[in-house]
Amino acid sequence: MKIIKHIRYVIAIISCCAGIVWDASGQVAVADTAGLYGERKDSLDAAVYVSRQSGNYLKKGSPIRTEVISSAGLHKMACCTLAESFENSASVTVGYSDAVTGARQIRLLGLSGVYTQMLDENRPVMRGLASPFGLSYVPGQWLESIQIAKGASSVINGVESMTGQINMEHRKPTDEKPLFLNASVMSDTKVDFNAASSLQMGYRWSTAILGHVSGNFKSFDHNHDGYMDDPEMLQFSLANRWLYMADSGVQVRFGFKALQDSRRGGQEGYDHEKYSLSNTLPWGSDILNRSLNGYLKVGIPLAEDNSRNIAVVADYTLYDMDSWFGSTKYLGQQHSGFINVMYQHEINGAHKFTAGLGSTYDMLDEDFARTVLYPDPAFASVSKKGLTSLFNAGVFGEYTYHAGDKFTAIAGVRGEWYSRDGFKCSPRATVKYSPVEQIIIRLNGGRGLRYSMPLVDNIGVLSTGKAFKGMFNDHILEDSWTYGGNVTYYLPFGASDNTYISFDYFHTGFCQQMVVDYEHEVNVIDFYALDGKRSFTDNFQIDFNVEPVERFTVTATFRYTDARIELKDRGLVEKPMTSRYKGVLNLQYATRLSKWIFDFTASLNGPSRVYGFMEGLEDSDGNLLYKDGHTPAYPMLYAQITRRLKGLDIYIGGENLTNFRQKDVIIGAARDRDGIVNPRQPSFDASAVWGPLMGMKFYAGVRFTLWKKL
Amino acid sequence: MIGTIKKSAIAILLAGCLQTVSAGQEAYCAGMPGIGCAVEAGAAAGPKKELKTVRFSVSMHCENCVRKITENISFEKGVKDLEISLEDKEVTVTYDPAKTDPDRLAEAIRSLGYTVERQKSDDTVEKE
Repeated sequence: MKIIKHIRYVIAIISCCAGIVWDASGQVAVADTAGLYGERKDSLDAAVYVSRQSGNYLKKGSPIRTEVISSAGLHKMACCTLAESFENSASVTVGYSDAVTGARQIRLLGLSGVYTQMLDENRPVMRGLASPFGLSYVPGQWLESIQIAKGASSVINGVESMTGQINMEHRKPTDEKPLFLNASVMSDTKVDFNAASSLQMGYRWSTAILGHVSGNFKSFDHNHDGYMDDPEMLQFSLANRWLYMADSGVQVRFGFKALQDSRRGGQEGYDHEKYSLSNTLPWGSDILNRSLNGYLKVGIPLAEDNSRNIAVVADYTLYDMDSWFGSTKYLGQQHSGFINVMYQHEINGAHKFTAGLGSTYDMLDEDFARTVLYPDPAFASVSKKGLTSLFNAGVFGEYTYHAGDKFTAIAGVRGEWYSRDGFKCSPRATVKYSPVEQIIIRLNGGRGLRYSMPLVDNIGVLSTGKAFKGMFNDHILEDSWTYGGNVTYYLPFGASDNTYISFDYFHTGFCQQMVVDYEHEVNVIDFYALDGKRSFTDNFQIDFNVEPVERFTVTATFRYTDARIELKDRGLVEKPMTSRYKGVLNLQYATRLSKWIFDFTASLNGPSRVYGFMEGLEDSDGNLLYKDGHTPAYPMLYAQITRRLKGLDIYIGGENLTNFRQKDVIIGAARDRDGIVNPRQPSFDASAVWGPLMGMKFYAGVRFTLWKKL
Repeated sequence: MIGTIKKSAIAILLAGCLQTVSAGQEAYCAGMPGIGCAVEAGAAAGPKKELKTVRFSVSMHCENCVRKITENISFEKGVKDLEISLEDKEVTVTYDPAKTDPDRLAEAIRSLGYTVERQKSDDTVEKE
């Protein structure tokens, strides 16, 4: 009887637990990893560390507005990949690039993820060819934490970070966890396995080995549109990271990663060798990605107290993407090299500067060919085959001034020579001012530059039947200025000392940008340079975090974005497919010692302006899908229950509990006799995705950790 | 497939519940805001338990140490609550004296690789 009562009790929890509180009490700040040489130091802000780690919190000590997703935050949801770990954040929005490939795209400050620099412990990653799928190639369970820095951050890692930087911290070789295993399964038949081992090999050497396998067994077509909801995928990846600590204080870190990922989406039975515009074989996408990466980081102290040191970072990545979409093929191979040499001098507690040289080299070998149905034969077939070299090298300096705890100012400048565009100077500045302990004001601004990769940055264009016109084979240097600020008030109530309310405003304006215009001509995607036209976003965000009762945390955030772009012949319009607002509410409750953890997240995604050609779309009953030219606002609900035992976590949860799905995802004027949109027409478009493609999903998983014991 | 997952989910919940029952933990309903109890608070019915706390000085040097101690000591038999201060290098354990004692707890922390010293003040906490 007691057992049944317990079961009923747990079911009652699930049904009436509308309050899963998000523990965001940030009592122990994760050590600042912006400094390469910094080993993880302890935050002296933490007076008492209770047995829970905060999931998602604003990092108090950082001059730049930084949101940290700790490992507790990574455990809140299924978090199979890096992309999914942002579902809880209002700063970062995750979406799909198209309805076919499973490529996930993030948005920060209302702009595409390509304008956010992704860093793996201060090495730029997911660049170029790796950007469309990069987020799916970092397993969430490999990570220890993620730091999201909004605005124009440091110049040290280059100025490709236009809207911000996202830094990933992997499991460390020094973690003292000789074994970690994780297995999870989702109701859409996707399974994930992760294994990690952090081993100390003697006094100086330690290593971490990370492995991942994931895939799905079956694909579904829940909306019966004839196209798979999610591609059939299989991914293997393996990484090995080493740390050597010499007696002299020199630290050497190096590592390798190998990855292979294959995915087939679209209609079942697609064969890229047989498909052509003149037969009726199924349309689809077939992608094979392979990557190898190696890196080396050396930190050499020049003074005993490490106030002067030199750091060198070198990284090489080989990325191979073989992809086919209907009658389009894109075969690319990219060699990327990155090197950074930094000299850091902490003159005293108040003054510090860093100076250095950095360079990035990308060699891109592309074989692109596309044939579509278009009246003008000049545009019906396009191709490009050849090598492209993108190189930049620069010198940078950054000066930091501290006036006690109250005031910090960072001024940085980077002078960079770009192989195709010459010399550019990018200044950046950050100010943090804390007039009283409870108020922190941050201001930040600077320039960002990056080479655009039109096809790869916008991989959704390949899942359409439209003709490409313009600069789709060119790499122009995109140029933007971002400035903004944040005010955070720490409030004196709540069960923890981390109750805060924070306000953000950021503005990003582009001087030069690659514009991908779906609306200029019918059934054409026009690629052109901004060249002085206006393109900007204004982003407002409010965050509130409180622990009203012990072990029950509430976090609420709301972001409002006004993104506008001046398109050819249309004037200044709202940027299409960018959501106007997003609100997220997180609730988490943990029992004593976190033996049970209940998580609940609700998000509200605001409307986006649809492309001009979507305004007349109707559903099966003849009603307009997008009445005022905007998508509907929609909710997403997630819930998870975690049971923690010694060394073992068991979790079950659900995603998209309201079962909301974007209907009529595949667009096209003509339908086959069975109602399926014909892919062999110029109006075919599978890239206009604004909402979830899959409905409700359930998952269950287990995490096993073995700690090092004497 | 869905049926199997549902069955597994119930099995996992059951496993959790059985673990709870066998550990004889406190009533869940107390302290959970706004939730109607579908279950009588009968899980730990009986005389009020007397808990004790003990404070140790532990040689922790980084946040990873805090996590290691938290993850391991939380699940030691008889441990009811845990407070760790990295700054003061202290670990305070609230435990059920019928199930464990400070020596066993100290040994558990030592086995993780730290030096442990018991501090003199002990408190006896009466359970609510």
